[in-house]
Amino acid sequence: MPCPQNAKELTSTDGYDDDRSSAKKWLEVDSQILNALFCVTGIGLIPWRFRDLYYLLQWRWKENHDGLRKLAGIHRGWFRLQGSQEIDVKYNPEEESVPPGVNEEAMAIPIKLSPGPPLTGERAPSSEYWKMDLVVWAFVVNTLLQIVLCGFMWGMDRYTRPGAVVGLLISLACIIAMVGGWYIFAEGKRVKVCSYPYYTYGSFGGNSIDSVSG
Amino acid sequence: MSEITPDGDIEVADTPGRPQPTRPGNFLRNASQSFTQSRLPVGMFHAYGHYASAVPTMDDIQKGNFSKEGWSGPGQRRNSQAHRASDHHILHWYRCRNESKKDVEKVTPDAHSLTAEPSVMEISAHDPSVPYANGYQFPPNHSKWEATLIALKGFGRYVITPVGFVITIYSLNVVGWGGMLFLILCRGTPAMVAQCKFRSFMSGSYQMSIAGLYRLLSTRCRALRMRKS
Repeated sequence: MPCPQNAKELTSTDGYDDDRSSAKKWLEVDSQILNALFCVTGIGLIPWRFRDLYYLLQWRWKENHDGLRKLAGIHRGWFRLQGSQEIDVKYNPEEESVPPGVNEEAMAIPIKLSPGPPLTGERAPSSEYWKMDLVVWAFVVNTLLQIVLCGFMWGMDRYTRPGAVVGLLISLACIIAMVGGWYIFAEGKRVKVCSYPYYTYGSFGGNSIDSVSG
Repeated sequence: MSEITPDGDIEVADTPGRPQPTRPGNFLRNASQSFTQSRLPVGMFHAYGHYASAVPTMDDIQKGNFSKEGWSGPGQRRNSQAHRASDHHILHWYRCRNESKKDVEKVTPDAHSLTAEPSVMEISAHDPSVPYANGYQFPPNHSKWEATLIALKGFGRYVITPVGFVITIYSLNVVGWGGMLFLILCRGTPAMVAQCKFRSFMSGSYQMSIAGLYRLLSTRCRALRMRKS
């Protein structure tokens, strides 16, 4: 084969696929940096992800409704308990105690993390509970896939590591996290269209109390 | 710690959910409680979904649902047909809350309730499609340009928050390094061929010229093939 005449021709030469090429070296550098970035969320957030899983199992497995109520407090940005739409729109859980006649099962634990009084004057309808299972499990599975990926990235070098497995693990981990994020997005939009609480930029969850307790 | 409210009810200020941080034995309890209730996003896509669901549309900004200060309660109620009769309660609550925040000097509860009540009565639910008797009109919609500026300011305020800053830096890193990975994988970086050390004439301004660059590359490829065969 003659020497390449331009860049397009050059890409088809074996100089690019050679392990000594700078392309392969930078491929390794990029992959390791991206893996480290994914570790920050996948490994670093394990306490919070497995706390949510613990509450979920408390509810689903031990059939203790308090687990779901705790999850409702943590995920109140997008999740509403059944019956919470019937609570009086002027009731503010941050400042007042539970009004008589209201079922406490429809309020989060702690009570002050229940949805605040909606400024639109309408409470959002309750969420479908399977979406909570999906979101919690999505992030747990994402963590497990990330741990396997770390095994490949740290246990093997760039000459022996199977690229297809790495690509598959990254794709699966990304897709499962995107599914969870999508439901948080869609449900959050549904909840906020009906009852947008006073939204502040500094807080995660759209309420001033979050910066205190979070 | 408790205090007597003007109504005579005893209000317990020290709730069991909030232990006083001054007692040293409460440190672990505080830490574990703030962990079990913390509302950190559990993943990047959690944060993306959360914030994306709060991003206003262009229409929201133009109508005034989303103002310079963020999501606007009055703006949203003005454009909403939902439960107009309940507006009194919310406006009352919102007004009391804002007033109690602003007031520096103490106002006695009686005087406060006296001043608050008539102001609530002035506000009445109103269908925005019907013009007011006194000639008041709703503020006009923002232009596209004004709405864009408000959106940019909103994004700027989000970026300078701790969570917003971290998420922005993280996302830029993922996009940047991921973009480079993508370019390499789809062979978008043709200059990244194997380098051979035994032809070391890469000094001076030789490779600065187009012809020099071509000869450099062709020599390298030839050398690589020679070594392989």
